[in-house]
Parts: sequence; C-alpha cells; structure tokens
Amino acid sequence: MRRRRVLIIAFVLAIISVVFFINETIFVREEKKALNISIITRGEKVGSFSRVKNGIDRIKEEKNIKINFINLSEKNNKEEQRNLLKEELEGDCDAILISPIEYGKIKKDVEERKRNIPVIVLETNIDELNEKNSNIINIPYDNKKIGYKLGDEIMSRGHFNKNILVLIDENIDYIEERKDGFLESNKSTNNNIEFIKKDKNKSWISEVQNIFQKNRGDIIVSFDMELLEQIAKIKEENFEDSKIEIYGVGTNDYIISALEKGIINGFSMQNEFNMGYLGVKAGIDLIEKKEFQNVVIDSKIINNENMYYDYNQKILFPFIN
Amino acid sequence: MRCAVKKFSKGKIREIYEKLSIQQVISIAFTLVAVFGMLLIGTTLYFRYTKEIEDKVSENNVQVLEQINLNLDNYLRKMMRVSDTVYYRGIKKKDLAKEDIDLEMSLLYEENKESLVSICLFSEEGEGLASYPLRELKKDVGARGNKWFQEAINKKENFHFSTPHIQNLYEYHQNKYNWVVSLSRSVEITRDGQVDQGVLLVDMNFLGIERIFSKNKTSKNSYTYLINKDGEIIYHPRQQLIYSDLEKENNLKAAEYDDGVHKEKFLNEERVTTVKTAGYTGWKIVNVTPMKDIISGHREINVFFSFIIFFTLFLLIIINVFVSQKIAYPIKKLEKSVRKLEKDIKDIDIEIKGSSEVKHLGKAIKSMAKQMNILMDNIVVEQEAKRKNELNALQAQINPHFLYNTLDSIIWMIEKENYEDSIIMVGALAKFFRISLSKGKNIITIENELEHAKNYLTIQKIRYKNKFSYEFKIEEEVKNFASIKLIVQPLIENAIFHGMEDMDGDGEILIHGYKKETDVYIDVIDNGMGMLDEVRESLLTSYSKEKGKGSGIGLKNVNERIKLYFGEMYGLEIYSELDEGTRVRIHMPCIDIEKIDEREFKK
Repeated sequence: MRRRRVLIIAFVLAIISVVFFINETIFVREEKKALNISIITRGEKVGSFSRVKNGIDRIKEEKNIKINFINLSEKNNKEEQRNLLKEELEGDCDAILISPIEYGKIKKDVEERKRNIPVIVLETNIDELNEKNSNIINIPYDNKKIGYKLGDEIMSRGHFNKNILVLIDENIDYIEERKDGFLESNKSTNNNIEFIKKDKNKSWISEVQNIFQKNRGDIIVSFDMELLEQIAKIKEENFEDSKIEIYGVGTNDYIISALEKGIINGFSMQNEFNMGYLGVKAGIDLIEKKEFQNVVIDSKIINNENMYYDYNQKILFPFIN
Repeated sequence: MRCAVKKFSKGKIREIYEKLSIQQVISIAFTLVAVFGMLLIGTTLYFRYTKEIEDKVSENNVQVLEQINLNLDNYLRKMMRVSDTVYYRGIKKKDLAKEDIDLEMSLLYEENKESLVSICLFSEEGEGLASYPLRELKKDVGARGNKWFQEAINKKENFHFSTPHIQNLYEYHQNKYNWVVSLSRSVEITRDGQVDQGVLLVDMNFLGIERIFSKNKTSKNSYTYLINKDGEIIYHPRQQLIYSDLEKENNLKAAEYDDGVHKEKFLNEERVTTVKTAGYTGWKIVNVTPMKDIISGHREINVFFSFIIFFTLFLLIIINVFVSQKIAYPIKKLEKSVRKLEKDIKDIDIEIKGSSEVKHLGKAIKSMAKQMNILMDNIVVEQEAKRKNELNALQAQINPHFLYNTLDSIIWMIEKENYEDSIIMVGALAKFFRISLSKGKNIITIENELEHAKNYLTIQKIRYKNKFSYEFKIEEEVKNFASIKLIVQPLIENAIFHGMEDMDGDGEILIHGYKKETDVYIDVIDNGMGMLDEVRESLLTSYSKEKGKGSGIGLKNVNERIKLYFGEMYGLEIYSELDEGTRVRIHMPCIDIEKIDEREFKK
C-alpha cells in the first residue's frame, strides 16, 4: 500500500516536472496579448494633444500596448464625447483614458459602467474620484493654480489697472477651474476683467480680430491652448504692432516661438508628457491589479526670460529619442 | 529556554525515529541524503554558473563599452575635423571682410548633415558672422551669455563640448527646436587685415549619438548612457523620463566611478554598472545591467536545472522504494512471524529470505520456535498429568472413613437383627461405590451424581434413624449435564453433620438442581443450626473437618476440584443464617456429557 503511495507521488512529481519543463520552454515564450487602451480626447485632432501623445508614445515603447486615439468631430462636443465613451465602455478595450469636457455629463456612465474596466480621467480635477472607486484614477492639472499663477504673472508685469479680456468657452470643467483661480489672484488688483464668451454663430477669429481692431482691452487671456494659438496667429499676421498683451495656458512649438517673438507674453506650461505617460501607466497598473496613487501634474509659468532655464527647457521641449 | 526546546526537539525526533519501521528509516535516510546532495550540487552549480555569467556579462559589457567608446570617439573626432576644416581651410585663410566661408561650411554640412544641426561663427562680441544652414540669427541673440561661448573664449587651446541644450540662436521659421550638443572653440578671425578672436560653433544633433548608443544593448533591460565629468546626463535612452522626474538615474555617483565594473544598489535594485571614460572629452560611458537580467536572463538554464533536479528526485524515490523494500521486506516478514509466535500461534512458516544476515537470523528463529513448541507440548502434557493426579488424589480422600463408619453401622444393624435396613444399606453402599468408581471416570452426569447423593442419604438416614428428611427437586434438562464426581455428597454430609446433628427437631435437606442462562446450579439447603460468618468464610479456605466423621471430603476439596476442572469462575458459594439454615450452591457450566466424553476420548 505504502509502496503504491510512494510510486504515485513519484509519478506525480515526474508529471509535474515534465509539464513544468514543457510549459517553461514552449508556452512561456508566447507573448502576452497586447493591451488595448482607448484615449478619448476633447478635440478634433491629436495635434492639440501632441505633447500628451509624446508621453503615451514613450510608454508604448516600453509596454505591450495598442493605443486607440478617439477624437471628436467637433471640439468640446459633450454629447459626442459621451456617446464615444459609452461605445468604448461597451467595446472590448482594456482601459479608457478620457479628458472630459464636463465630467457631470459622463459621470453616470463612468461610475455605473457594466464592465469594470479602468477609467483614467485626465486634466480635470474630480475631487469625488479620489476616494470613491479604486478602478477610476484621476490625473488632473491643478487648474485653479494654473489660473492663479497666470493672474500672478500678469501682476508681476505691473498690470494692476488694466482691462483684461478673458476669452472663454462655457461649461468646460477645467476652464471653469482656471477661471476661478484667475479671478482669485486678481482680487487685489484694479484690473477690469471681462469674460468674452463665444457667440455660437461666430468663430473666435472674428471676435479676436474685432478686439485687436477696436483695441478693446490691454490684455487678452485664454485658458485654452488652441484658442491661445489662434489669438497669437491673428496678432502675428495682422496686428503685429498691437500693444495688446497675450497670456494663456498650454504650449506647442508655435506658442513657444510666438513667446520668443514677443507675440505672446506668457503662458502656463503643464508637463503634458507626464500626463500622457502616467495616464497610460495608471491604466496598465489597474489592469494588472497594481496600486496607483492619484497624482496632480505640475505646471509652470513660462515667459521670454525663463524659457531657456535648464529645468524649463527640459519640459518645454520634450526630448524625444 | 533554547536548551529546553533543543532537548524537546531531540526527544521528539528520537520518539519519531523509534516509531519508524526499518523500511521507512532506510527510505527517509536515502531520500534526505539524495535531496541534500541534489541541493548541494544544485546550489554549487547555480552559484558557479551565476558567477560565470556575471563575469561573462561584465566582460561583454566592457567590450561593448569599448566599442561604443570607439564609435563615440570617431564621431566626436569627425565633429572636431569639421571644426578644424572650417577653421583651417576657411576662417584662417580668408579675410572675412572681403570673402565669406559659406562654401566651406555648406560642403562640410552637406557631407555630415546627419550629425550636424548647424555651423556658425561668432565674433568675440557674440555677433554672428557666418552660419549654415540656419542663417537668420535672432535679433538679441545673446551668444556671449552661453556657457559654450565663455568656455571657448576662456580656454582658447581646447575644443569644448557642452551638455545637451536647446539651440536658441536662430529664428525658426518652422517653429522647430533642436536639442544639440555644442562643440565650440576659439578661432582667430581676420577682418580687413585685423586679427580678432572669435568662436566657431558646431552644433551636433542627437541622432548620431543615439545611434551609437541604441545599437549596443547587452541584455533585455540593460542600457548605456553618457555623462560628462560632473555627472550631467548628455545622452540617456530614457532622457525625457529623467527630465520629467518620472525616473531617476544614479549618474552623479557614476561620475565618481573609475573605469571598470562596479556593483551597485540603486532604488532597491541590484545592478552591474560598467564605466568607460571617453578619451578627449572626459565623458563617461556608463552601461547598466540589472542583476535580475543576469540571473533570470538565462531562464532556460534555470528551467533545465529544475527539471533535472525533479527528474533525478523522481528516479531516486523509485530506487529508494525498491532498495529499501528489498532490504526491509525479509526483516518485516521475520518480524511478523515473531509477532505470531508471541501470540502463541503454532506451526508458523518462517520465511528464510533476504541477505545472508537476515537468512541466518531466520534460521535461528525457526529452530528456536521449533524447540519452543516441543517444550510447550511437553509442559502441557506434564500439566495435564499433574492435574489428573491432583484430582485423583483429592477424590482418593473420600473413601476410608466413610466406608469404615458405614460398615460399622451395617454390622451394628445386623447385630440388632435389623436385616431389612441392613439390606437397604448394603444395597445403597454398593450403588454408592459403583458410582464412586464410575469406571475410573472423574466426570459423570448430574443425574448419576445425584443418584450417588441419594444412596448416601439412604445410608445416612438409616444410620441417623430418620432424624432428618430430604427432597430432590431437579429440573429435567440439567440431568444430562456434566458434573465432577462426588461433589454433592460432601455438601449433604456437611449439612447432616454440622447442620442437623445437634438439632432438637427434625432436619430437612433439599437438593435443588436448576439451569440459569448457560450455567447449572445445584443447591444443598438445610434447615440446621446455620453458622457464623467466620466459620462460613473458613470453610472454603481450610480443610477443617472433624476427624472420623463423614466421607472425609471438605468443602474446600469440592471447591478446588470444580475450579480445577471448569475454571476459576466456577465453584461453591455458601449462604448461611444462624438458627435458620445453610445453602451451599454448586456452580458449574452447562456442558453436555457427550462433549466431555469426546474430550476425554481425545485426550
């Protein structure tokens, strides 16, 4: 009886070792399936997202992932973004990164999703997410601080009694946060702040041209990168001698160049590379059931004087190998 | 405390060891030795292998760094040659107020454009004098403020290589910014016959450097980076991650390392760092190979080792089982036989198999068992004979006195011419002795035994002139059960002599035979004087009897005979009350007389 038992144990050992050997030498070599990660932007093209994309491309080189960028047909179209999110939540992707236009619009879809896939909410700060759901990560910019610092930068130029025109798109979470910060920093000044909202029937181009033509203010502020670029281009092309100063949030090569040329006077630069890299990393970590702490992406005010500072140039001009 | 634990565990081990069978001891010992041996060999091989791999990796890393250094040196020398060519073939030969050096610059640029971003010449004041291909310098270029410019001015005789930076000298029409490493040197510029100092700048792009480094990966996670003398990173495959604080590098420490292989622990990761200093620049090429790559990079070997160990263990277990069984089986068989022997099982077949020692042992035990059986049989025969002798001796105590007294009574009756009673008495005596003899049998039926008692009572009743009466109340079914000869009569005799002899009234004796469960009981009850407890207790322990009275058999004799034949649980029980009477009970098993006859016959 005992002999039989020993033989059975030995036989099981032999089978285990053979299976182990075969598994290790043959099957382990099979590559793991690539993870599908969808990224839903809030714009029409990836271009506005390019620095975030640099970070995403970087992590893509390191990990076995497939990235699917999903843009809107019209910038800041909330309904479209919501529908796209719904589609992705019902699809077969492994994680979703989304830069929400208005979180309230998609909140229900995200929080009550049937498939418990990781969702990474980018750019906008959603306080309620920080403790609520372990499978939803928030990687925001500190938008209020961005607005506040931009206000400080304007003040540091000695502008305490100016007409500031803030060109603003309505009901976009991160814009609202930046606006709050900006207003707070201007409390102690006599600056007259006028918020100009986009007329639905008009483009920003005509509105901005009108401002320059009529010299309606001393300073133009935009909390949106694409709008900042548009304003700068209008000034460069048509109103190069205008005394109206331009400040804004967001950066790309044109904005940097415009800063160097003095067309733009200052802007807030966020480490968008980190946003992209950490966003995807959070998605992968959650898929692999690892812990990922919420992070807030740092920002810095860049002007003509400090843009080539050692630290700033490393962030301003991402070093893409 | 530790001592107590040690003692306890030692004791426990010994206890377990003592409980183990010989096969288990052999198997466990073999397996332990095998496992220990395998582990020892495995560990030794593993460490040796790891050490060898480590040495190989280090050697390989050194070679790779040599190669990178060579390529980097070529690349930098090429850049220096570009600088030299522009200087010696263009700047030095020409009066820049009258001629330009655009041709020299363009030719060199086109020839090396994969590695170059721009070439330009500055006056000592930082004014741009010539450049290719980006000709439009910024309005407020501020070249003098740059480190590369100052170094060139301050150390005229050398080439100076900068750390990576964004080149911000030119207007970029396509908004394109380049990370460059600047090679600057001091040059002499001739303008209108006047020689001034100037700075020649050659901006190298990263493509060339990156190519040199990216192609030389020594393992999956290894990488090579480049730092300057102060540890500032010039090239790193994860440069932007480091710039963005997403990753850290041990570059400042690496700057302190001498050329060669170093083991370090950085951010909880063991790694092998190989350093090589590039000749002219003093830059350091650093290769980092994580230790886990060295160890787990050879997964197949590890798997192969594990497989071999598992497989060898499997073989060893099988061999252990067979060997231990081969050794232990004959011993176990022998032990089983000895166990049977202990349990008094006769005719055991002791197997004589196994090694010579075990065979010898088996033979010895077999002969011993045989000898023992003979001895045992002899003892049984002797004991039986002894028992029979004892029984006979006890029965032999009956006769003389009783015969003498009875015959005396008969004589006395004949003298008194009481012929009728004397005839009855002689008849009863004859029957009495016939049953007493019973052809030499010791065991007779209860019926015969009671018949014998009746004869005795007949005799005694005559002798005592009907001073007592008696009655037999016997269940039919007990009559054929076996009884030892002459056990009832002594009880009756006792009842007559001690119960009724001194009585005033008529005595009554009842003999009651009955069966209860598997036993048979014969009670002899008298209504005599009864007895004290001390007397009652002594009856079964001593041969106290009055000489000359009765048949000569005491109750102790009867009790002993019953116990001797039927076993200790049977015998006599005496119940007595003073002035009330006595009940003496015979307790025997219900055994059919035929079975006794068979048994006796077999004997």
